[in-house]
Amino acid sequence: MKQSKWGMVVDLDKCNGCQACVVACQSENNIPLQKKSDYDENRVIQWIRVERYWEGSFPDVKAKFIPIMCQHCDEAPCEPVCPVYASYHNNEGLNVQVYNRCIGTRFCANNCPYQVRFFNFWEAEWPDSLKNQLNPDVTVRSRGIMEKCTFCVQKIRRTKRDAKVNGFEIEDGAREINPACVNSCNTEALIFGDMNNPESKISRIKAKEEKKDGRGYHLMEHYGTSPNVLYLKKVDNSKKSHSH
Amino acid sequence: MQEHQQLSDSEITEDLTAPVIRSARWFWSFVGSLGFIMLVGISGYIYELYSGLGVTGVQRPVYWGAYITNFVFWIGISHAGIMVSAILRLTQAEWKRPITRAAEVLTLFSLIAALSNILFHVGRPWRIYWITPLPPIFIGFDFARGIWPNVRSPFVWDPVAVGTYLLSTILFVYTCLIPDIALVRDKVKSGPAKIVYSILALGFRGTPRQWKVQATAPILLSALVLPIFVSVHSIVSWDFAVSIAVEGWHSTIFAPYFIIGAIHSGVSGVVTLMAGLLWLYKLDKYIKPDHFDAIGRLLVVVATIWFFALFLEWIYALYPLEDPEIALRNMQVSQPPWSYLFIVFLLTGFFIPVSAWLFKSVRRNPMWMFFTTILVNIGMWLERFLIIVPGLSRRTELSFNWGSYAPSLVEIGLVAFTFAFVICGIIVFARIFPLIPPFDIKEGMRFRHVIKIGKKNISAVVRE
Amino acid sequence: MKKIKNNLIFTERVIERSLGKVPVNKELINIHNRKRGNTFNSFLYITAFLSVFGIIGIILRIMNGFDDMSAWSYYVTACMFIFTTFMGAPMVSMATKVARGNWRRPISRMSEIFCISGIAGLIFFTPILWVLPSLEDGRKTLWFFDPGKVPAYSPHIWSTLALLGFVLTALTLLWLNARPDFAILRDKSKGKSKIYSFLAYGWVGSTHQWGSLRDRVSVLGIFYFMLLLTVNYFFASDFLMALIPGWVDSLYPVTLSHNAIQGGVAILTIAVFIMWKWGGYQNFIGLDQLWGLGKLLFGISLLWFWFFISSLMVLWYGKKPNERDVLQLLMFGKYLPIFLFTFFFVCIIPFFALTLDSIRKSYYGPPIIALSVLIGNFLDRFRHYGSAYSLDRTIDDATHRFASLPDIAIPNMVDLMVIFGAVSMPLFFILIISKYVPVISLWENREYLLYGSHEKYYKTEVLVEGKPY
Repeated sequence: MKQSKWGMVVDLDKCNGCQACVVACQSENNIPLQKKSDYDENRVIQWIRVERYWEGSFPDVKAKFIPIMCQHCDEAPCEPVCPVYASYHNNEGLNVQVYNRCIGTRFCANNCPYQVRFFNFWEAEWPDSLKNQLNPDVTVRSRGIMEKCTFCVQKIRRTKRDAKVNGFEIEDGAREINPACVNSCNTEALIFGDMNNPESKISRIKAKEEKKDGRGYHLMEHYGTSPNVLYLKKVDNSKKSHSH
Repeated sequence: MQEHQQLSDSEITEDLTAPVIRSARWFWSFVGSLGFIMLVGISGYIYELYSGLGVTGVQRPVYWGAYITNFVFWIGISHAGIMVSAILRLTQAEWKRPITRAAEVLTLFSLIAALSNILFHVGRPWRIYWITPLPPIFIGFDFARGIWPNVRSPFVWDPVAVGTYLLSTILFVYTCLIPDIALVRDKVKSGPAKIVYSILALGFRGTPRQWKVQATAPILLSALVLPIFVSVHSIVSWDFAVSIAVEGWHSTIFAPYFIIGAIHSGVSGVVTLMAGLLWLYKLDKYIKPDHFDAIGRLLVVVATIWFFALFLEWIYALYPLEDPEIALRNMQVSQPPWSYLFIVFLLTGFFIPVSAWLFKSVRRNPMWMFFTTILVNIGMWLERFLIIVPGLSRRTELSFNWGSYAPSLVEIGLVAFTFAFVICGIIVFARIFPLIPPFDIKEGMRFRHVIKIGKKNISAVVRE
Repeated sequence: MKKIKNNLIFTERVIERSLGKVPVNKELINIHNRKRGNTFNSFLYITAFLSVFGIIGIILRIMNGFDDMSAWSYYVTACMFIFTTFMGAPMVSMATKVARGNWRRPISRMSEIFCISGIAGLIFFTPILWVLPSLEDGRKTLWFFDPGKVPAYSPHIWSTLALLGFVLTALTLLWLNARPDFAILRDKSKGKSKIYSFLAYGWVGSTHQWGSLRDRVSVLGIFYFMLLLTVNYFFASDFLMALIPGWVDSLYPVTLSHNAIQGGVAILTIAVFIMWKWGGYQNFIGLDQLWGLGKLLFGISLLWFWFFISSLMVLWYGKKPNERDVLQLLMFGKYLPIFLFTFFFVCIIPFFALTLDSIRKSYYGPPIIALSVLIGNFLDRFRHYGSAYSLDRTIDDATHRFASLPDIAIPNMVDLMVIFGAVSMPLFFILIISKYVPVISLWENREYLLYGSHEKYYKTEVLVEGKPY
C-alpha cells in the first residue's frame, strides 16, 4: 500500500463559526472540561479553536471565522527544539506528540507560530458523570506536558488496522478515518484526506485551489513551515477586492 | 595611583584566615534569615510540584516567565568569575588578585542557582535527566526510555555547556584553593576540621615543584575555560534566537549581545560582592579604591559596548518594517507596564550607573559602586524579562492569541530563593575557606615594586 | 655582553640604552633621516604607477555608467577592502594604548600611519554613492521610521559625514601622536626643520602639553573606535544589507567592524615585519612585537569563528524562506568556493597555525599568517559585496525566493586596475608619509625608558615595569 500523507482543507467560505468542531474534538480526545477560571487565566486547551475577527466599523461589521488547529507542518519549527523527541514527524506527514516522553520545557509552544500547542497546567479532571464517556483509545494527559491536535491519529490507526484485518479499502473521506472535527462540521468546511492519493477529494481541491488564481493559501507562509493544512479564502461578494 | 602598602606574610595570614577560624558575630543570624527566605521559596516549590505549574503566572502565549528570566540572569552573573579570573589572569592584570576567588565562588553558586531554575521551570522535573545522554544502565528503573536526546535542540546543548562550565568552575575554584586550604590546615588546631582540611589540601606542602604546578595550572585552566565561557551564553542566547515564531528573539546579534550583557551584569555582581565583603569582613587593607577604579573603568567600556549591541538589536528589529515586530516594539516602549519597566531598565541598566562611573570619585567609593552595580543588575534582570515576556506575548497576525503575563507569588518566592541561596552560599563558603586568597596576595606583595620618576612614585610590577 | 633572551629582546635593548650605551633618539633619528635605498624608491614608484592606474580605472568605471550595478561589484569590493584593512590598523595602537600595553611602543606609530590611507578610501568611496539603486526600487534604508518621507538620497548624507569624520579623526590622531616627534626632529635635524616646526605647532613639551596630549589622544582614540563601528554599520546596512532582500542580520555590522580590525592587525603585522627585516629597525622591533601581534591575530581569528557561527546558527536554524535564500546566495550557492576559501584563509589557517607556539612566537610565522588573513579578508568582502551588487533583486511571488542567484563574475581589465589601484594607493601614501613621520615613535620609546627597569630579584634579574594611571 502506498504511504499516506494526511492533510486538511479548511474552506473559510463555508465556516459559520458554530464551534461544533471544538466540541467534537473536546469529547473525542479526552480534553478536560474548560472552566471559567481557565478562560480567565488564558490556559484553555482547545486543539481546534475558532478564531473570530471583526471587520469593518459599526453599521457595516462582519464577523470572520477561522478555525485553527495544528497545521502539521512539514518543516515544523516545534520539532527540532524538543530536547527529548516528544515532538516528532511520523512517516504519514503527521506532527505527533509523544505524551509520556514530554518533560514540559514548553520550548515547542514558543516556537509554534500558530499557537496550537497546549500545556497541562493542572491535573485533568472530569465530573463523575462524565467519566464514562472518556475515549478509551486516547490517553488522558497528566499535568506538566504538552498536547496538541493529532488529526485524531487513533482513528487513523484503528481504521488502517481494521482495513488490514478485514481486507477492505479505506474509502476517501470515510467517517471512520476522518477526525472528529471533520465529521462534526455541518457545512463541510473541513475536508480531510490522503494527499498522496491523487483521486481523493482533498487532492482535487488542492490541485484546483493552489493555482495562482485559486483561493488556497497556507497560514503564515513567510515562516516557511510548509503546513499540511490548506485554507481557502472567504469569497466576499460585497466587494471585489480580496482580503484575508 | 596604586597605594603602596607592604604587609607582612603573617599579617596577611592572620587577617584573611580569621573568618575561617571563628565565625563572625553576625554569621548565624545572617545565615538564618537567608535560610528563612530559602525555606519560604522551597515550600513554594513543593506546592508547585504538588499541584502543577498552574500555580505560576505562565499562561498560553507566554509559556516562559520569571524562571527562565532568572535562569538567564544567573547564567549571566556566572560569567563574572571566568571573566575576572581568566581574562585578567591571562592579561596579567595586577588588580585581579583579591577579587578572583570571590568571583569564581560567585560563578559557582550562581550556576547552581541557574540550574535550579530549570527544575522549577519544567513541567515534569522528575524526568529532567532525559535531556542528558545517560545510558539506561545508570537509570535502571527508567523503562520508558532508551532514546537519545534530540541533539538539534538548544535545550540539549544547554545542559552540556552549563554542565561543562560548572565542572570546570569547580575545578578552577578548587585548584586555586589548594595552597589556602593547606594554610588553613596548618592554622586549625585539631579535631575533625583538621582531618577534612588535610584531605582537601592534597598534601600541599609548598615545595618548589608544587608551586610551579600551582602557578601554571590556573593559567592553563583559564585558557581552556574561555571557550566554554563564550559558548555557554551563546547557547543560552540561542534558546531564544533560533525561535522563528517569536519576532523579538530571532536576531543574529543575540549571542554577542547576551555575552556582553552577561559580562556587564556579572562584573557588576562582582563589584557588589567586593563592596559587601569589604564591609562585612573589614578588608580595606586588601580591597582598595584602586580595584574599584580599575573595575569601574572596565565596566564603562563593557556597558557601552553592550548598549551598542542593544541599539543594533533594536535597529535591525525595526529595519525590515514588519508589522508583528513593530507591534512588539511598540508595546515594549509605550504600553504599561512594559513601558515603565523599559524606562527603569534603561535608566538602571545603563544611564544612571555609566554616567556615575564617569566620575573618578564615584569609581573610587565602594559604597557608590555597591549601589550603582546593584542598579545594573536590576536593569539586567529586567532586560531579560523584557526580552522574554513581551516577545512571547505574540504580537503576530493572529491577534486572537495575544496575551500577557505577571509572575505569581510562588515565582517571586523562588526568584528570592535563588538570590538568598547565592548570598548564603558565598557567606558559608567564606566561613569554610578564605575568600580572599592569602597566597595570591602574598605573591602580589612580592611582585610589587616602585619606580621613582622625578618626584613621583609610580607603582610597578615584576614581569616574569 | 649578557646573552639576550629572545622574548625580551626589545625591552632589554631599550634598557641597555637607558644605561647610557646608545641614546635612543639619536639612533632613531639617524635611521629616519638616512637616504632611502633603491628598494624603497622602486616600491614608491610602483605603487605610484599602480595608483595612477587605479585612478584611470575609476574614471573608466564612471564613464561606463552607474546603471549596471553588477559591473561595480569588484569596484565596491576593492573600496571596502581599503576600509576593512588599512583603516583597521590604527585600532591596534588605540586599543593597546588604552590597555597600557608596553609592547606596543615600537609599533604604535606604524599603526597610526595607516590612518593616511583613509584619503584613498574616500577617493574610491565617492562614486559608490551614485551606484546605489533609488529608493523607489524598494531599496531599504536605515531611515525607516517614516517610509513615506525618506530623504531622496537616503544614506548619502550621513554616510559621507561619518566617513569624513572618520578620516579626519584618523588624520588628527596621526598628527597629535606625532607632534612631539616633529618637535624633536625640528630641533635635531637639519634641512627639513621648517616643515617640522610647522608640524610641531609650537610643541615645547610643557607639562600642560603632555597632559592635554594624553587626554586628547585617549578621547580621540575612543572616538575613532566609535566611528569605525559607525562607518562599518553604514557600510553593512545601507551599502550591503539594503541590496539583498530578506537579509536581516543584526550582527553583520559588528562582524564587519571586527573584520576591519582583523585586516588591520594583519596588515600591521606585515608592515612591522618589513620594518624589522628591511627597514633597519632591528634594534627596536623584537619578537615581543610580532609575538604580540600574532596573539592578537589568534584571538581575533577565534572571534571571527564565533561571529560567523552566531550569525549562521540563527539563520540556518530558522529556515525561513528568506533566510535560506540569503545563505544560498552568500555561502552555499554559487559562492560556495569563495566562502570556503574565506573560511580557510581567515579562520582555519590562522587558528591552527597560531595555536602552535613555534609559529606564533616567531619572526616569520605571524606575517605569513597575516598574508593569508588579508587574502581571506578580500575574498570575504567579495563574497558579500560582489554577490550583493550583482544580485537580481526580483523575488518570485509564489516561492518568495530570488528569481536567480548571480554567478561569480570574472574581473575584467578595469576591475583589475581598480583592485590594484585600491591596494597600492594607500601603500603609496604610507610610503610617502614614512619619509616625513618617524615610523617608530621617538617619544613613546623614550617614555618607556622611564617606566622599564632591570632589577635584581632574589637570585635572578627581572624586568620591572611601571604602570602609570
